[in-house]
Amino acid sequence: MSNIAGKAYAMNLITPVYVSTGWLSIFFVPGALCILKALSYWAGFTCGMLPAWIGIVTALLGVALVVLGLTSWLNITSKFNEFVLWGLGFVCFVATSLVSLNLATTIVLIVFGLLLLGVGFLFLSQGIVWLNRFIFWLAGLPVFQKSAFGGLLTLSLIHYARWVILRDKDFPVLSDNQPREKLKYGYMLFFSNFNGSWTQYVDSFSSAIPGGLNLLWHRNIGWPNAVPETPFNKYVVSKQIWTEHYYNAYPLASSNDVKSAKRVMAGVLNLSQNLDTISAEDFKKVYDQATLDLQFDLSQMEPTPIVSLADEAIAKRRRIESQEA
Amino acid sequence: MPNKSGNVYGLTTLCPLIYKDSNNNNESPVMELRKLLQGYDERDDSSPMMKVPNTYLARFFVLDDVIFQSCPYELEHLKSKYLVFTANFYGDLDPYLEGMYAAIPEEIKKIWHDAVGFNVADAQSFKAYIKKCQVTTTFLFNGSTDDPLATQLKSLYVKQEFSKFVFQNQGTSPELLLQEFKKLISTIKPSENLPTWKAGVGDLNKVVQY
Repeated sequence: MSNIAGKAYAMNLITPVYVSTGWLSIFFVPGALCILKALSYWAGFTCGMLPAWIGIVTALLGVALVVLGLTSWLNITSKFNEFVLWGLGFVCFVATSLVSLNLATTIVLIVFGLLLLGVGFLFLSQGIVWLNRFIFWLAGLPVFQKSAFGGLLTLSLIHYARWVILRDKDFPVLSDNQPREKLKYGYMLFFSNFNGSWTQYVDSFSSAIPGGLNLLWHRNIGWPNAVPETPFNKYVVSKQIWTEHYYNAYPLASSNDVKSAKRVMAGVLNLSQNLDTISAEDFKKVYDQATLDLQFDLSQMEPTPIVSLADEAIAKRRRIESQEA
Repeated sequence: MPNKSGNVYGLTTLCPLIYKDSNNNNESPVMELRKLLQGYDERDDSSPMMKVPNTYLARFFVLDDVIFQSCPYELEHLKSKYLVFTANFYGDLDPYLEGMYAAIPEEIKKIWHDAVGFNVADAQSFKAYIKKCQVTTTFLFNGSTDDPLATQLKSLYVKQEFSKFVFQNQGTSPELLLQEFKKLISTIKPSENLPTWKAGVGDLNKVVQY
């Protein structure tokens, strides 16, 4: 079992995510109702009659939609608010039935209705998981990246991290004999490579970017919020899976060492120019300036300090074994 | 592309595992796999991933099941166990997987021995298999650099040696400083590939590769 490779710690979290459409189903109902109302007007307009019978049909369809919403609500883990909002959809339908429309309003309604339907179907088919993916897409845009992940960059203890949101249909199927996964919830996998101990990392996250964490774990089931720390730590512990084998290409280096080494390399290459022609006094000047510029990047790397008692116990046993040998 | 951030690729794979014991012994294939993976240790340089070009970080673990959140949420289970293999590396997926198969073909066959649908005989079939197991990364965060691994390792070596040099040459006269710096440059050769640090080595006495 190895969550640690040199100065890097591997964290794997798997957290369930709501798939329920929740309050977003409100997009679906008025969208459908706008279309129905517009169609009823269009039918009345072209047939030269008031759409009384069409009004009845649309009313029945509206009721069917509400029943669909109720069924959806009953089948999903969900909440009272979904029922309330589907009910609101029905109220919308009744309201639109009472309004007399002209042709321009009808066209606007159709466009608006199609838009709402599109969003509604998207959420119905993809569920809330789609919203989580959208949040990550949005957070990844250059304009939002600093606000969403600026705290992570400031922490500077992470090499790389990733989030993977899966529905049951996303689990790979490699054989006809392999059973397909059937899961009620979506699942978010989080993999992080960071420096330091588990406690340092989790505490840093909680205190440095609580708002960002709450956004990234939006609608994850049981998410307790990043602050206060005690329930947050309990949540992380209960969702963590231990790594069987962890490989790190530079166990002696932290993420900051890798970044600073790039700057030191550039400085050394610059200093090594014209060594055969430069005078000792001039070299001293550029050397002093270079070391001043690189003062925060210069340090000697050593094997990692103790990050876990288990790791230290293994190191101790190996020292004893090597002495005995 | 969510799998990439700059030049860094974040590969995430879930490889379904065979449940039944194919070797007619008393241990499940999953247990054998765990033993194999836990036998690799970076402290004794036994990780096969050391030989795989451009791998920054990689991990293996077995996903037995999804995690139950407790009541009132529903208890649900996975129907298969999965070997989760993830890697952060420099460059694109195809050349990385080709390089991986070229470097450690026998270890790959051992690790994925009990994976469903693993009929790999060459680099092409390995690539095809891994791509079937790949899931798309939703978001990849890069908190480090995205240079080739060889560049990162050479820079770390140069940083280590130059830091030592600065420490040892405080207060040195300009003439001696220039002389010693020339010696340093002729030793560390910052513009050349060697010497450098070896990938995956955590012992200061063994890390330099000449």
